[in-house]
Amino acid sequence: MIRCLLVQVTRNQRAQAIRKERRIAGDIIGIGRASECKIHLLDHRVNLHHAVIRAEDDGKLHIEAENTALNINDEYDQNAELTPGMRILIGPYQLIVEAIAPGHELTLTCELIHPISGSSEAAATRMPTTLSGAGLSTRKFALWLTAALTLAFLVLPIAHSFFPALNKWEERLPVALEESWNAGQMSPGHRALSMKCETCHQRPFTPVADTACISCHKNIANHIKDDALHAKVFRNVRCAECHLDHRGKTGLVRHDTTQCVACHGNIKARHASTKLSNIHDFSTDHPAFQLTVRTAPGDSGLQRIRQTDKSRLIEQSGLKFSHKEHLDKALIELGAPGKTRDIQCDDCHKMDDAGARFKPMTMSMTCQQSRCHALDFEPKVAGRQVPHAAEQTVMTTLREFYASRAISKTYADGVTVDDLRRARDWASAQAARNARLLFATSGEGTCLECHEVSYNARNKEVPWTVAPVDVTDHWLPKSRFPHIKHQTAKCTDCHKVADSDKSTDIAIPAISKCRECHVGSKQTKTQVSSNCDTCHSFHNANAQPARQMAKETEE
Amino acid sequence: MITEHFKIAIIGSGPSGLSAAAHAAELGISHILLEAEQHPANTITKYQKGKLVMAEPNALPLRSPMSFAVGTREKVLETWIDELQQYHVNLRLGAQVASITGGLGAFSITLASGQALKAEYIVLAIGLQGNIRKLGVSGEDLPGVQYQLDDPDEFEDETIVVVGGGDTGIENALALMKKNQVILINRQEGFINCKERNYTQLKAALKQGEIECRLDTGVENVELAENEQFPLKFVARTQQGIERIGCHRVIARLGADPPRQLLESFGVRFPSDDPASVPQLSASYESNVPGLYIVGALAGYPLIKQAMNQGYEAVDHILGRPVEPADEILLREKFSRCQELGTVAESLAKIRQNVPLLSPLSNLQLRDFLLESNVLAPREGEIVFRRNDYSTTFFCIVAGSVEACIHDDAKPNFKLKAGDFFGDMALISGRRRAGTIRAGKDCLLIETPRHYMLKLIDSLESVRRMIDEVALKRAVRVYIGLSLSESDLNYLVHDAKVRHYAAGDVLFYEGAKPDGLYLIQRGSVTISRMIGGKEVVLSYVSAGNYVGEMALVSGQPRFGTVRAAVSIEAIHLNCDRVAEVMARNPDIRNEMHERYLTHMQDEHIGATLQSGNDAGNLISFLVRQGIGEATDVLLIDESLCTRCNNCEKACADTHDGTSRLDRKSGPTFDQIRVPSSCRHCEHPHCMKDCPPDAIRRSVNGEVFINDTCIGCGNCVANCPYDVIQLASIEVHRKRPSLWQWLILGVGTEPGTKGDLSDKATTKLAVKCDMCKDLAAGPACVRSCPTGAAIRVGPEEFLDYAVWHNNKIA
Amino acid sequence: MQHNTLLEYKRYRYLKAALLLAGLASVAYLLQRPPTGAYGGTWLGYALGTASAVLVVLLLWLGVRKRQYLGPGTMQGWLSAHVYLGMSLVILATLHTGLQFGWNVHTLSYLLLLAVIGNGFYGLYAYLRFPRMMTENLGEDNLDSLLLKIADLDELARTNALQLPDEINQIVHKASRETRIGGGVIEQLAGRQPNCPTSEAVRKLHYLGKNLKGAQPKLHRELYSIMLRREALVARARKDIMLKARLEFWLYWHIPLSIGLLVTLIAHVTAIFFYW
Repeated sequence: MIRCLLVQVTRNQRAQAIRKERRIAGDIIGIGRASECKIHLLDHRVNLHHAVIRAEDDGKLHIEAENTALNINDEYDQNAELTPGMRILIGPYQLIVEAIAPGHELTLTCELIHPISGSSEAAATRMPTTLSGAGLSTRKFALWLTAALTLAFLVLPIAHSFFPALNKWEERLPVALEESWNAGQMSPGHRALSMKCETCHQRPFTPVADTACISCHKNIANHIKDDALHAKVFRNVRCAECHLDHRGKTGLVRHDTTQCVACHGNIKARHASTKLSNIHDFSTDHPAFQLTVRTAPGDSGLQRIRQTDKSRLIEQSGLKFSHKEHLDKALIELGAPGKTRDIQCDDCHKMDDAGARFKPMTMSMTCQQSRCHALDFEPKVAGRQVPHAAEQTVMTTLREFYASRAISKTYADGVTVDDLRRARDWASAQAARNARLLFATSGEGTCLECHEVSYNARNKEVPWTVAPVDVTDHWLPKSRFPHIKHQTAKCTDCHKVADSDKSTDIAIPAISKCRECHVGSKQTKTQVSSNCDTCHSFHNANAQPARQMAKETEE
Repeated sequence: MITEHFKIAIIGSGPSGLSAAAHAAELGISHILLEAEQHPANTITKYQKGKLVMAEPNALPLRSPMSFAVGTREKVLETWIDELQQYHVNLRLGAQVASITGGLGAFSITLASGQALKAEYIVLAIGLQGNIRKLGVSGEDLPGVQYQLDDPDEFEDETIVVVGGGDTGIENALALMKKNQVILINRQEGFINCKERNYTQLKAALKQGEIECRLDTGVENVELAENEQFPLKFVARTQQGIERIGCHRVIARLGADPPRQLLESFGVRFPSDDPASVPQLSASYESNVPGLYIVGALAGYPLIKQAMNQGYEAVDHILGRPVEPADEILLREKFSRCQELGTVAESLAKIRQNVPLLSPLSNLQLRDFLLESNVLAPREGEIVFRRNDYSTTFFCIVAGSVEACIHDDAKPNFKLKAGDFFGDMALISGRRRAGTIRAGKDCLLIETPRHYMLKLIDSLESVRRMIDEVALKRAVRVYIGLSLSESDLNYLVHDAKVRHYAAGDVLFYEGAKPDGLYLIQRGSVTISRMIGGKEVVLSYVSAGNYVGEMALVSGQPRFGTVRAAVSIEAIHLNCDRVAEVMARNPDIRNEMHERYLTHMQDEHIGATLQSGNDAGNLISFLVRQGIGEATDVLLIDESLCTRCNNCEKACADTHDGTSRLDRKSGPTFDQIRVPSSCRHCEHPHCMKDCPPDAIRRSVNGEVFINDTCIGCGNCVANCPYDVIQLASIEVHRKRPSLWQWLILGVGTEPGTKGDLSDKATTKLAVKCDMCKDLAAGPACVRSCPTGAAIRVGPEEFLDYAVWHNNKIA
Repeated sequence: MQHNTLLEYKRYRYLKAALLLAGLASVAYLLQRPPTGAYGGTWLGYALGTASAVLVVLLLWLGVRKRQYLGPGTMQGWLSAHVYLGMSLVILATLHTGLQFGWNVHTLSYLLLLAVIGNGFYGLYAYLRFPRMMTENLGEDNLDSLLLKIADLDELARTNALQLPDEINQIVHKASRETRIGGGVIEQLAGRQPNCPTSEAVRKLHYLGKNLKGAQPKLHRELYSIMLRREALVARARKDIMLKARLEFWLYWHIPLSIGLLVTLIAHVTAIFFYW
């Protein structure tokens, strides 16, 4: 029979101990959760039967663990004798063996030293229940993102253009710092410059300056010949307004008419004293063509004349020529009478290598091919010709020929002075006679057939002068017309020469002819759309009527 | 031995004593202040720790060198003790008076210490606490049996028996219950004489089981117990018989009696044998013993401020200085606006004679009444108040007349003359003004705040009767028909009765035989019918309307059951009389018929509404949530609410960092939540018991707390929807910077309460004021991103219910 | 007095506005034939660009206005506008690009814009759908009250288990200690705990009921019902957390991304005019 004084210790807010004493007695004193235990500790951390206190044979009181070992004075033990001051942990409770009180065998204080603090229990449920609680933060995310993006897309690109020093280091990078700023693919011609932004964009926040362009594109012709006027008219027009890059293949050169019409639509506004008329579209208000025509010898004789101005459209090339004769088979005889041959345009008009216009025509290359227009004399010697050259040269040729004929005569016995005098007179007479035949008589193979010849008796040596010839070979120098692109058409479709028997006729087709196939910038089903730059180029201030005198080549 | 000699001996250093002594001191009169205890102001010292000391009546000016204002016990005592030094009051502690002999000019006072001293005059200010009522049974003086409680926190884990159902008893019990097991013993079978606030709190506590209570229970005795667990045994005599309650402590708060024997030994006579009766005194507080003045609680003035004034005045009387009542100046000031009234005395007389309503008031009461009121002299034609104003003041006409326009400000419906009063309907219904009042020729009005008027009505039966009569008649006239002839009116109201119903009470049942017409004067009712075996609310009728006319018109039995949605007040008119009057006045009949049809309509809507969703009876739900007495309710549609709390943040941000609404709490029904936020009741419960009268209703109806709040927490306890909270308000709060927080997260987020730990804060009551000061309207609604939060008034909420129902149907 | 969703706000005022805006933009885009081809650099391109930029700023301002509780207009109006104008922004911005894309900050900001708006669409869906589910799940309770109830049940269960064999005691204890409600972002979004100890406890208790003696069987039955209730409560609590998480999660992307958008937008504009 163990009589035990159990002191239950509880503490108030001020942690002062409140002792409640209970007397318990029994042969053994069980400790545990189970109701039958004398020391009944209601806590889930205590086992149903945790330990038991019983008297050993020697009468000493022992405590025995029921199953798991007990923590006794911070050591683990299955069984121990109860001695005053001993501390035994039963789950959250601490039993302390105290000095035995009178009338008892045992005095124990029992205190709950690890109470179930609400917090520790709640801990299970007190997980974060909101995303912010779980550590998500819009702000953090946003700030990081901001930092990263600012660095990548603002700081570095700007740094690139302010610290050239970076460039060296930059070259080693796979992508350039300001790569990300590139608005679009460069035009093929400028590819080399991509990632060298500063070559064109020289100053931040200022549009690309012309100087940048011109630094490479030297001697680009102006639009207007008169430099002063050009400067005035294009004062604040930048190259870049027509030439947009970063648009891939397209765009660098603009083919649309808007920019042109911007000025030419109301050209007076740009330059009051201009003679040009307003143009909005090829199909609507493009004026008639202006031809460069030789109206008289000399520089002043060279004039630009609208096709509408028919009366003045007479070319004074100084040549006698009839397309009719040449194209009309009936009239062309070669050698024997009745033996004719038909001539095609391209027998004489040979396209130049550019396929744009035609090679200049010459006597030897054009008129004398297959012995048309051979300059024969002295029938006794077949095929003997004078060169198609200056009058003096012709005379000399004749004299030399007959002189040589005279002295090559055979004599019986020795030559007398009279013989020589007779020979000289003969020779000069022959030369004079044949010269007269060439220069002064008309007919096959004479000068007069194609040229005007004037006579001057005072000029003993060569009294005849042949008028100079100047044939126009570029009628529309301010535009371009690639014949090669028009080969599908016959020449005569545009150039009406079949009935032209005078060399003063001009066979350049009128604008109406073009318009049969070409419309303006607006595309239609049946016609070709053509902008200004189809025929004209912008930088064409230097374009000139390229005239070549038909030069006779010496033989 | 030489006996000291003083001009004035003041016995008892309570408020009145202190005040008297200090006054004497400041006048340089030789005096002595005798205090039995070792500290001055013993009674207040023994107040519960931290108890808030009120300074009522508010309007009464304090007249004493000692300062006194509302504050905690500690604060009050502190200042007094300072001031005692400051005035060099001749205070003698531990000096208990044994006897007083002699008479005017030559009193000799003997102290318990045997010491004696002489005085020409004596001011007796010993109050009542001097002899506290004890249990009067064996063991009343055992250790552990005590008669006051200083610091409730000093006891923990104890079983404590508190005896006494008075305020102190309940207050003690409530204070102790937090850490101890409390058993409250009350002699009566109810708690009659205690503050409403204490009662509500006690009820709650009992419901929670935080306090055990024995009603109708006496004390047998108290004995020491052997059991080591409880040192004491409290033996109680209950109806069931003797009960032995083991406890650690008994605290008895049984009030106190005048120390009769002592006083009588001084020669003071008492009017009656009632132990509670106080000695009779002259106007100058002099007792039947010449030269012996009695002030304070002992003189029947329990309020501290009054007592202090008395102490002061008593001294003046002794010195023969002219004494005029403390409030004289104020009154003079009030009357100054209208000269014709003359001096205060004259004006009081005039008012008394001109206004029958006020004639029964005692002089003191009338003075108090006028202190609380304003005297107005509106110009002729001036509007006193307009229809639908939310002012709730009460007016008496002293002179001149006013015109009442019920429907049309152009056409006065009736005239009121001097002696009449008005504003009674708003006073009773708590709703907007029923009509406009325009001042007549040289008219003179007294405007009295609602809360004070109610106090008066409660205290003076005659006033109540008078008001009720007139009000009733007026209500009938306004509600039934203005065209009624005086005779018809009298005929109608002849046996009309004002009936009161508690929330849920039935005015009449569906199918019952019609017994008459009910004018709802205050509160609101629901009309319900049995549909499919369950009662379903069809409609809702608010104050200012009548019910019961349907059966009257149709002659059928009652169409539906009418229940009080909240505690209501209705005027019952006899069937037959109404019928007769109707017969006589066709337009009345027509109007009633009109009502009949509209009611039919409402109830039809209601009926369809029920068929919509069987479970859902949104109306009755909303009524349960107090819409019945609300003037504006915040509703949140949970199906739209994304729980972003922006409403609360907005509220907090616009109201010193504390949100007045709690989105999460509050019941939900069919996706509609009524969050705990003020309903701005017609009769705000919070206004009931507000010492500084800080809770007001603005003209537009918002109920708000102005900055005179002292944080006593009465309103918090009184609000049945607990939407008022005591919040620590930052004294000089400046709005947190938005950008700083937004970008850097530094500082407090707008709309959240920052950490106030290091800031100067005071705890004050806060509640929704419907953002009355914001032009744009309530911030909560305006800042709801999804439009889940809306505000609905009682007029709209029927429509709302219908709309909501169609939506989900 | 009625409740209107932010979509219905003021009879779809901002829907109309947005449609008008988008309509005008599209028409203009279809009508104008820039010689250079459509891209941000044409006059219309600049116009659309400016408009879009202004809109972006306006939409971002919602975040500020939301917290300026005295700010102009009602929040519902702002949000309604935010939603609809945000939608119209898709069209405006796309037209602004002229469908010219590349590996650059310009396209990046466009993509960010689309990301933010797309995310916004989910947000709208969440806002219109989840709140109702949350109420249906919680009813009168709120999360705290659920947690309290669970705590109470724990208390009950533990006291109940005291009289029962240690094994059961362990299970109960484990359940109350290791049941996770809420937790990490993933857990919250998932709304369940793999082999939740509470359910486990319920399962085990089922067959641990045998060979109990005395009052134990009764206790066991009570304990079982307690654990069943606990399980239900835990499920509800988790569902609430899940719904709340899903209701909010998108915002944790929406806001940072739109800030990012703002940055790239600034970069975009700077780039354009820096290299004019």
